Amino acid sequence: MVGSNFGIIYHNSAGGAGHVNHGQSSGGGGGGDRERTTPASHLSDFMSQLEDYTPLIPDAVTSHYLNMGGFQSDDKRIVRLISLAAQKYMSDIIDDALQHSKARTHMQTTNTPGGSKAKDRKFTLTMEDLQPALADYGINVRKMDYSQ
Amino acid sequence: MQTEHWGSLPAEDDGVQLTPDKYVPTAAKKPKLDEIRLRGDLQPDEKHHKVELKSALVTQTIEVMKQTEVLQSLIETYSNKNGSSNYLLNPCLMIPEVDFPPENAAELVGSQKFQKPIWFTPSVDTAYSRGDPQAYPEISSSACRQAMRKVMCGMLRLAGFTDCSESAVQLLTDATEEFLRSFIGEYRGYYDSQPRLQKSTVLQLVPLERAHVALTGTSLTQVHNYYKHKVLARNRVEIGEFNSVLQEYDKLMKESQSSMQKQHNEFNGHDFLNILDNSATGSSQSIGGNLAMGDMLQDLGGSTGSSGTVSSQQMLYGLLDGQISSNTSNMTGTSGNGSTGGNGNGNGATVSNFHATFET
Repeated sequence: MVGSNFGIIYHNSAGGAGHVNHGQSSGGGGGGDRERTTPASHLSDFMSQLEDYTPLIPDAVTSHYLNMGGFQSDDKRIVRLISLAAQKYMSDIIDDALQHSKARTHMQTTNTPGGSKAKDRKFTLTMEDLQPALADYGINVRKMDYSQ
Repeated sequence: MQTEHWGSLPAEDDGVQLTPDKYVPTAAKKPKLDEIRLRGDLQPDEKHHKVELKSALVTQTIEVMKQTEVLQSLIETYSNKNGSSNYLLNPCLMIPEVDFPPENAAELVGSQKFQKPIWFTPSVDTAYSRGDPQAYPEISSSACRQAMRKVMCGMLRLAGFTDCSESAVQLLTDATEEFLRSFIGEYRGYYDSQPRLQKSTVLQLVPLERAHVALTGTSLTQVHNYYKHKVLARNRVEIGEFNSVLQEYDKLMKESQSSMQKQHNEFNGHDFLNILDNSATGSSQSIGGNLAMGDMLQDLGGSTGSSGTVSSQQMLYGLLDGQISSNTSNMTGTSGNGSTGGNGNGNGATVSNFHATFET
């Protein structure tokens, strides 16, 4: 699976940008302990390929938050990159919530004598599923006992 | 000693004379005022920006998922699954036709670009790749939240959720907003830590990568994996599933149509006229009906003779040919006389063949 730096090992001859410790994916290969340099040119090559990566979050929304942070949001590439990063982050949380929902639904169908068919199963996102998913990503949610 | 006051006016009026363009003479004030009034009252600038959620891939994926659900529900309604095949529950019931636009399942993304490794994809010189500056409309925070809310609903549907509670959507929207603020705040922090970037507002890539690693622990390049495997692959999987379900539904529909056609072809006049054959079968159930039919035929044909089966049938044939004869002997004659002069011989031939077949 394409992981950090797309599997290409670059010699540390360009220098410059400092050392960035890449996080390995769960199915990634070896070499996760090595620190690799990420030259800006490689990231810029990657960024230029994002033209067809249409994010769900509109560019105007990301531009609004960049303006609030004191930036001049006129580079479409970086705006789109930030939008995609946010979309990826939320997608990971939603996938975890779906796994929690499936596990909870599976337990309910095995406990009940007449379980529903797999096709009829509909997944509803509730706070019960979302709370543990957010907790895994460092977002702790506390709600009042009377709220749903 | 003359006292100098700080606000005193110069004694001599040797200052710069006012040029005509810097003052409006009294005589020209009224025409100037009329000119300004002709322009109209100043209206506040109405800034209405439409924030569009444009993501053709995600929209197509969700639409294809809906179509698949419709087809599956129809298949479950009209058929029964036995093993790996579906069988029609009621062959006499016509399955409704569904017509989905073919462009709903069209391939939107060229496979070459995303099948090749990213470093083998040549970059195209466009305004995007050059990084030409682009201005974005200014929108309010409430508009941002509304757009984010819709984005979250779309992502939930894409992930596979069919329903969602209000508080969960609210929480996801808040989490997204918080992530963006934190990410950009971290990004700004790297700018502030470097003296040459403290006052800079230009977006740069390396601090962004550092901020992302600091916040999430992963590189920004993981975005490529996410887009390829979660968005593109999901789109293709859903289109593939839709096509397979559509084929299954087409097969059931054709089977239903063929069974309906077969039943229609099997129905003919023999079955209809067999209701008169009560003496041949000797069935008590059909005697009453046939007697009624015989009486009806007698009323129509005016025959006073005994209503035997053959005479009743001949009367009916004569009625069908438009010939009503009051003489029963004529009706029980040879089959060649069954046709009138008005009709052609073809009709007589047809009646004779039909009659002969019936008797045997």
